[in-house]
Amino acid sequence: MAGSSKVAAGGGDRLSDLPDGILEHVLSFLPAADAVRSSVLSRRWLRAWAHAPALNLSDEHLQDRFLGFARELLARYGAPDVPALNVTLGCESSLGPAAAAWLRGAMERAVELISVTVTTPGTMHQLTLPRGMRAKSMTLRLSGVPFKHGPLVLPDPGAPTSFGALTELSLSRVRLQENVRPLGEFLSSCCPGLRKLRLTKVSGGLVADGGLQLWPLVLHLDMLEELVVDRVESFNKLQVVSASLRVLGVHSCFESLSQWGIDTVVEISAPRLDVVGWSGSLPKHISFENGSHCIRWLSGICFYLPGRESRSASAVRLLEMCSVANYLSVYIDIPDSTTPSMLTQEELDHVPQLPNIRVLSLELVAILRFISCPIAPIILSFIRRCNNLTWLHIDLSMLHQFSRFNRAYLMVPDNDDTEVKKPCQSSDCNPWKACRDQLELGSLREIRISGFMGTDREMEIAHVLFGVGVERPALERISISLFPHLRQGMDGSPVCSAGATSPAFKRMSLPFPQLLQHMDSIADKMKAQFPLVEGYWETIPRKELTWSRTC
Amino acid sequence: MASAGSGDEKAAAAAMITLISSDNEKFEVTEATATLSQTIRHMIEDGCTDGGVPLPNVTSKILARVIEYCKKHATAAAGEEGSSSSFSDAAFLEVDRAFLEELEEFDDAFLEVDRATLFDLILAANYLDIKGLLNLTCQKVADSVKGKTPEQIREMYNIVNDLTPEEEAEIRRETQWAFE
Repeated sequence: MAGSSKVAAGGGDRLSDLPDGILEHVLSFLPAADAVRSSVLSRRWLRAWAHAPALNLSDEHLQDRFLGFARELLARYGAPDVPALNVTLGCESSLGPAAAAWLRGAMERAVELISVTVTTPGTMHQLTLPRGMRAKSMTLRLSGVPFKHGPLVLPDPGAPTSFGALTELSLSRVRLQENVRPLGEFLSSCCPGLRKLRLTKVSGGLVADGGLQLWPLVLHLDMLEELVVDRVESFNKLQVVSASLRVLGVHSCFESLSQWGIDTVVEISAPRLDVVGWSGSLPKHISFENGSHCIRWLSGICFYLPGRESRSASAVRLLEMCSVANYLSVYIDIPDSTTPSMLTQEELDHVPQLPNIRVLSLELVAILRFISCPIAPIILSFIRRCNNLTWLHIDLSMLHQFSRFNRAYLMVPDNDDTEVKKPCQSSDCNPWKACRDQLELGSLREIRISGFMGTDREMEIAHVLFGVGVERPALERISISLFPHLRQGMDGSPVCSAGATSPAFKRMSLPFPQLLQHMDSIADKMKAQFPLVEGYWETIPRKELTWSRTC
Repeated sequence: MASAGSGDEKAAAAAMITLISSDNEKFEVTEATATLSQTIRHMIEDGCTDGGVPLPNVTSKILARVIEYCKKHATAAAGEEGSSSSFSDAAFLEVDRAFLEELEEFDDAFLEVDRATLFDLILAANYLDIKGLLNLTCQKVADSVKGKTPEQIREMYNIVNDLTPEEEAEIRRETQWAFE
């Protein structure tokens, strides 16, 4: 590279003075076209881009000229090996056979990472993997929409292949040709070094009538540490044999109609399996060949009301299977139609005893204004099963959304005091007082509540956990973070962290000054209702309040 | 105190390291904060941090900012290693969304610096080998030139064009495929 040019004028040229490696690092954050164009800046910059550790190609401004650009770029790069190659395709014209052929060649040149992301609603033309790759990480998303899957062809089983360097693979919106070569067989025989595998919306091909072909994924990968399958809705079998597997995530993989009536199977043989994340239904048969005694952490387990709902039944089955786990995180989905009459003892009794759980995290998903039942009994139905709990986190931020799907739409309680009566204030008419008194949380040391807005129904939770008359001998700390999450805006005034331009505030049912006033009042309200004399409250205005024990 | 006892983890977590800037100012930081710098991590591993770590390439002004970054991000990293909360079980829970948002906000605010400081931070991050900070600051520079014409970039960064008009025309011809 040309030597640096020292410039005296106007404070000097600090950018050009950067060492080669850093200058090239800066270029690696630019779109490739910008990086190439920097060559004309000065002698120092001439072909500096050709040594950048990453090339970011996008057809955004090039459209049908993209392929010509992409070919030139790789032809003129300074070395046969390109460390990282990120390709984003947003135009239909970049998804044809010629682009697929170019991609195949590009894949062979990447030595660290290759990532291909289709953003347009179409799908990539059939992409054939090369016979060998040197990249350590590959990410392919072959369609811009979740319901379309781009076809991926694996290397011919007869020919020698080399994918030995590959340690991380992520396939998304991909349609395989399972009848030609099963993915599990390819990965098990050609990618022995794989450590992380993620499959999202991957299908096994189409059957004659246009329906989804059910397919088995059988993996024998002894190095595999992490496997996540997400909305792969056409499994009939998932079998994993791995000496290293620590993390397994299965999300909504056994929900589809085509799997009904089929003997779906999950068999995991992984002696080191430690963390299981599972959401949605279970298959007909599930087994952990080495027992489930290593599984210490269960996350993402979804419960729905009413409790007899089949998905809740799946969650219960999983909890019973992994009864030695110490860490549990749960989503509780409360339908808008839930009424107090649905919260009968029977309905809330489905959670099994969980004496080994020490850390429990509960996230409530509901629109508080739309449900007419209290939420404390629902939370209690979990906590009372975990007698040896030491750490409890309750996330309420999804109670104050306008919609379950878009977190940016806030909904702020209005006139909460008149809307709901205060059953909790008077202990006589408190319907779950008995239940509260049964709570044995002798080892509970820390309570964290996030997404708190101080509504009466939320206050009930606080009363149950640390209200007047409740003995919590081990409790050391309570932290409560307020909702919505505000931050300093450009002019110093508070704005919603969802972004000053977000629709959140426009949709909010409370004028902003009133919201701030409301948030300021929460701290006072809490301190007055929960004196907790063994410690003291501290507040970060409009953000957080914490209680710490002093004696 | 100064020697990072290799055995007891708790002692190591509480150990303090003294960093000394080029203008001789001393900064006491926890080992967790300091070891975000791979350079310092290696020094600690080699046991050569007694009496402080001199950093002749970093001024006190820049070092203070770098430490501010490391403190914030060390708390984030501790979510994995278990020293942020007084209670280690908490570490096994997912780092919650609010905290990640907060970290992003912190990074945005952290980058609100003049250009000279930004370059000083880049050089310090490079010297101290703090990957996250180097990426953050280089990304900021890259964002500032993205989509700009060569003329605009030269003006922004005082880049003197030392190419002859013929040379420049030749380069433009060669890279025509990347222009338009």
